[in-house]
Amino acid sequence: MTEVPVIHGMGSAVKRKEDVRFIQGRDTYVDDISLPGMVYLDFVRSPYAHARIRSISTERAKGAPGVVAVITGKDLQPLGLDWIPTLSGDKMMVLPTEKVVFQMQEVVGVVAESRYAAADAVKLVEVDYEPLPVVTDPKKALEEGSPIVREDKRTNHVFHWEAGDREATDRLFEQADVVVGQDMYYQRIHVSYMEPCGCVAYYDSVKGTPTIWMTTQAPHVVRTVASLITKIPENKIRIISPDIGGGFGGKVYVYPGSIVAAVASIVTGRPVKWVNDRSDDHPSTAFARDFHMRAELAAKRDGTLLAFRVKAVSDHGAFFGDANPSKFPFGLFSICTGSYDLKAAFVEVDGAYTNKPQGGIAYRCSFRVTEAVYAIERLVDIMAHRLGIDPAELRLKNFIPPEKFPYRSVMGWVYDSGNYAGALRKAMEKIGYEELRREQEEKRKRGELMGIGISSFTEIVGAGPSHTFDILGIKMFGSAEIRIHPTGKVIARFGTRSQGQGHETTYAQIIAEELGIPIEDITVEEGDTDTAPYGLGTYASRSTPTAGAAAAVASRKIREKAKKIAAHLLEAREEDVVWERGRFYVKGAPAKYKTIQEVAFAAYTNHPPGMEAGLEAVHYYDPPNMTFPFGSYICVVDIDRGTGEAKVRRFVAVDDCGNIINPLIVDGQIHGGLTMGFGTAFMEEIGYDQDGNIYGANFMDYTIPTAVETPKWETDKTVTPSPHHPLGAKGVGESATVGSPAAFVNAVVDALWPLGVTHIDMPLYPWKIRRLLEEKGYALDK
Amino acid sequence: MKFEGSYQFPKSSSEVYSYISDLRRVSECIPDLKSLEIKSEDEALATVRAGIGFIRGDFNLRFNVTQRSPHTNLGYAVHGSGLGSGVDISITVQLEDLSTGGSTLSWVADTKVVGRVASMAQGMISSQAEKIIKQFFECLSQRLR
Repeated sequence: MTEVPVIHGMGSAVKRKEDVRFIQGRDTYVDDISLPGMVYLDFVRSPYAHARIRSISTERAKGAPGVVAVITGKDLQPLGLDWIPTLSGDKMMVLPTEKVVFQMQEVVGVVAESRYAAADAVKLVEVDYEPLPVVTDPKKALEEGSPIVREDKRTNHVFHWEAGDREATDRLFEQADVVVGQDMYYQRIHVSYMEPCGCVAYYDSVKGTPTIWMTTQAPHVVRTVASLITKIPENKIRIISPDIGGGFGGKVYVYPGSIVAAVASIVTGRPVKWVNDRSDDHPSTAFARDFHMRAELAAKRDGTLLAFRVKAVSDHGAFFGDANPSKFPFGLFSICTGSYDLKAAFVEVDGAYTNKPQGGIAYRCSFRVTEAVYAIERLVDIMAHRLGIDPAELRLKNFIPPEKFPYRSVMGWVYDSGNYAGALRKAMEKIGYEELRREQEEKRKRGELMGIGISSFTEIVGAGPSHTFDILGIKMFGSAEIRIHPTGKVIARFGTRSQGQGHETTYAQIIAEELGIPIEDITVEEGDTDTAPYGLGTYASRSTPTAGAAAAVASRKIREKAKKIAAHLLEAREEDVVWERGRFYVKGAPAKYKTIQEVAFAAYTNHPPGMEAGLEAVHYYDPPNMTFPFGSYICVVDIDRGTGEAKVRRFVAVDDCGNIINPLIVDGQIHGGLTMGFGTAFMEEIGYDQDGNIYGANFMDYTIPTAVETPKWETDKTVTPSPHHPLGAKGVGESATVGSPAAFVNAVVDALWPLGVTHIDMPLYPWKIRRLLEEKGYALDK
Repeated sequence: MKFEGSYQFPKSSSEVYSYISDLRRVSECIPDLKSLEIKSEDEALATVRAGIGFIRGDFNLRFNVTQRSPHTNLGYAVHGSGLGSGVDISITVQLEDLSTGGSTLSWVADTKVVGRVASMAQGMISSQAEKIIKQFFECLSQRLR
């Protein structure tokens, strides 16, 4: 009997396959692509947030050394490309012809032989603007008489969306013993990926085939939309998404640069490269959050939570471009009842246009789940303080109990599985919660400020089931195409696109688990529309729940066929053949077996008569439901009464993402997500002044955490498999970003609650806390 | 951003007015002036080298005299662009004779900067704009002594 090879299947903490090339700098990002004769695109950008364009003079730029083309909105107009549709059924300007609607908007494209020549020529384009009144506050934008951002819409109102039962909720609020409410602003932030957006576009005029290498999280969707807009047959368009340096939702969008580069390639007959530098990318690409909400929670005096309601205004910038599923204009915010067994809830959101770049990125968040989790977790904490009940105790009292799963929430979602109390108790034990509370009590007596914050979040990911989820009508399935070569090696292709999540390893582990083939023998490919099966891409923690499931099911299809071949080889009846990881044997005679590799060889050389040759399968997986990862985070902060700095002393994160495929990758995802949540809570913010000038336009003014500021994360897990996912997995890419901000804020407010502080909007800058301490007479000057 | 200041001169308001209403002479006081073209009595085009910190480059500015009330009031409008930015300055000047001889010049400058410079150097722009405007009036005051 031969030894079964180590395959690194489910649960193996194997190091990521792709990291071999990443850590050696042998990866290929868009900016690494260089084609013969390639020219470079740069943009004239608007200094004004809102202005009418009186005239554009491109003559001096056209005559500049090295310039090969100058493209304006008027050049795009006859092609129908001056505006393009967004994923939310709105449209966005590619290049303006009449007015600009946000600062740093692309106005004119300049194409030259070198980046430097293009940048120099940009300065020679003369644009005469007539400044218009600016509106950057979404609440003001919705007021009568506000400047109209989109004259084609004649209103700044984008949508009104409601979910839940208003009457039942209001009734419970009237009957409640205690009601708490809080106005909160979830600030505008940028995803701050390492690699800014860009593309290389090449139109082969002989074949009539545009090929675009671009930083996109969803290449197939780009191809379909491009075909629909341009009428170029979809089979002639090729979108390649090479290695991507982070996406976090920001690269689901198609930006003007890609459209202008494609047109410029047609005009010049040459490959055109466009890559944003940081100072162009940060202020002009899409943003996340920017959400003003009034949240209220009703409870009985004994702490039984009854109902939750939210009234909110969402800032979408100049274009409604959220990459939301069609039926959810405000994403999955209706998950806002979170981990709690409430009797009713109601949310209503109005969207507004403002003079800002488009917003609504699901920044490491499954479509507005971050905002929802923040709202409920802040309010539960406020309620606990108001009632004088420990925040952990209040949560434990109101969690959906394990026996109630699958659980239908009052908002209509059917949670697949959960054990919320289990996760919180584990986090409490790990951090020593009771001891910390005692320490806090002692410190309060000494005038020291220490806070403990909890966030017990429930996510909703894995979009999604075809009965409910589509984008532009395309159902949100997951796809996998797996082929085993005669030598037993595997090529597997997916309709998703990793931006650093580790798909090449995770998917290989799933296939390894299902087929018993070592991951070293499995090549995973994504991102090329000419080769990968159609898919909706990677965002919203959907890859494992959808494409991962597709990989498992496709592998099982292969195994079914392999079993028939094995029976043929073993001269046994199919029903007498038993599968054991990596081999088939005859029932009762385990020594008589064929390895999957032997079976693969036979699939091409000695398959049963009448059977089709080859060993491969394709599967488009339609998930029956969403998955609902969850977790409990506990944060401990100490606040300096002199500087106002809130220092995170400890942070324990207990996550439950169902069955784990690779613990190392899951841990990495959680570390990254926590760090992003930490950045959101303490330092990141994009703001605008009254003239629409952006602040936070680059990394001089927009701070993201480095290793110096980042706390030490203590992670742990519980495992509650999803009952409907073929692997019992749930998805984890966004849990930590979604769940952690509330824990940080809850901790800081917990520290300050005795002073009468009930809320502080993020980011929790030291100066904000210092100002509060001054107001309360609690600041130290020495 | 609003800046203001005042200066006293040994010269009378009519003498000061005569000087500062002449765009060519006034332009000599524009800091870091690279080129100047007088289009008319009320309009001049200038290129100046300006910036904050490492963000430096040329700004093309159009100066217009927007108000003339001999011996008492003058108004200027400055509109320009450069470095992916726009600048609009509205300046009003008031002159008043002093009973002790000489005159007082009071100025108010309403400044708006938009675009890359404003967004990248948000924290520094106010002090830099004030510095440039003050340099301009300091220069005028020197010449009128």
